[in-house]
Amino acid sequence: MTWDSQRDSEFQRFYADVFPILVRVVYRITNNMDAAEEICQEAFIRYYQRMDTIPDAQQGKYWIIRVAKNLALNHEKRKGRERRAYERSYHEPKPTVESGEVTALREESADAVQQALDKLPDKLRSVLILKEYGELSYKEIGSILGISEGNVKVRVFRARERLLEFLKGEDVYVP
Amino acid sequence: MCPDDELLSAYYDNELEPETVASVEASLTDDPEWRDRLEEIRAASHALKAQPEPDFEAAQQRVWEQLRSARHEVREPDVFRKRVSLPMPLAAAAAFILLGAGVLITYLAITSGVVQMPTQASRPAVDREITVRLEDPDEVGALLQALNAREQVRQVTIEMPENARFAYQGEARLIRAVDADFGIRGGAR
Repeated sequence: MTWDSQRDSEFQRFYADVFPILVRVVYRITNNMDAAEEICQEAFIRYYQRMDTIPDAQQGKYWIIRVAKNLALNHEKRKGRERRAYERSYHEPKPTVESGEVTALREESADAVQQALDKLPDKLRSVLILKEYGELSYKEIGSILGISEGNVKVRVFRARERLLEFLKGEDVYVP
Repeated sequence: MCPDDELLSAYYDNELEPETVASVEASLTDDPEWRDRLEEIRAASHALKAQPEPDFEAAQQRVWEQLRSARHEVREPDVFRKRVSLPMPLAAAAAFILLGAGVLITYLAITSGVVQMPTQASRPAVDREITVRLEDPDEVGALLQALNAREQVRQVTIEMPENARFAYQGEARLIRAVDADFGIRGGAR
């Protein structure tokens, strides 16, 4: 396969349209910019390899968001396993009593919001991130995740409800 | 009436049909509890959107440069090299099934005669010893050429007469074994 000019320009347009959404979604899942960039790159390479089989750019957008979302969630799970293995190896359980530094960080509402988001189950977190950061409609989110619009509506509501519970529990200032 | 949070969430997202919107807005006008709930939904949404963002535009440029530099490595997916990740018990079961299937297919092929086990007659001549007596020294080169053409002979032992007498031809010299073709390729020396 060659990187011919027609493919190149088509791909470049797609990249310019989709990257801003994709990187926001992936970044909010991983909370790590380096990882987000790597995952986006991998997702676009996979898209390029399959772009001939994807009917149109809209379907391509759903496809690549689905791929990147899964890569990001897998990355998070792997990181979680590595962190737990590290803790077991060095007998360092998660701190139950927070250090002054952590407490200071927790005072920042931004961190608390991110932590609250991270606490959501994957299926609620994905939907909420796609809604709030991807700015996608329920229909689009349904197409990406392969679920009905009604299901998206329920998940968005439940995700917000859980998020508010966490934030209230942390006594976070919510503007 | 108790607020319908799910409906309010969809209202906040502009995902309701016009007639439902009218109904929700009537409830919002009449009931402060509905308004409070909508305010909470708005707060949750704003809390997420107010999160600080890294420089995504710079990231867009960086990733594009990476993609352009990696473009020569981008290839069609190789269906034979797709990675499949299986849980350990499932992978073990799959390996066992594949092994069993392989044994069964081999057994059926042998018993049905599709595949024949090699017999003594069909085996290549391994360790077979052939003795050839040559009276004329010029025939040695011809014999070696013939054996070489068959590409099956790995070792040749030349037994010289007890009273063999040699005469020097030309300058005495040392040559590497790999360079000594003994007349097979370049004629007799």
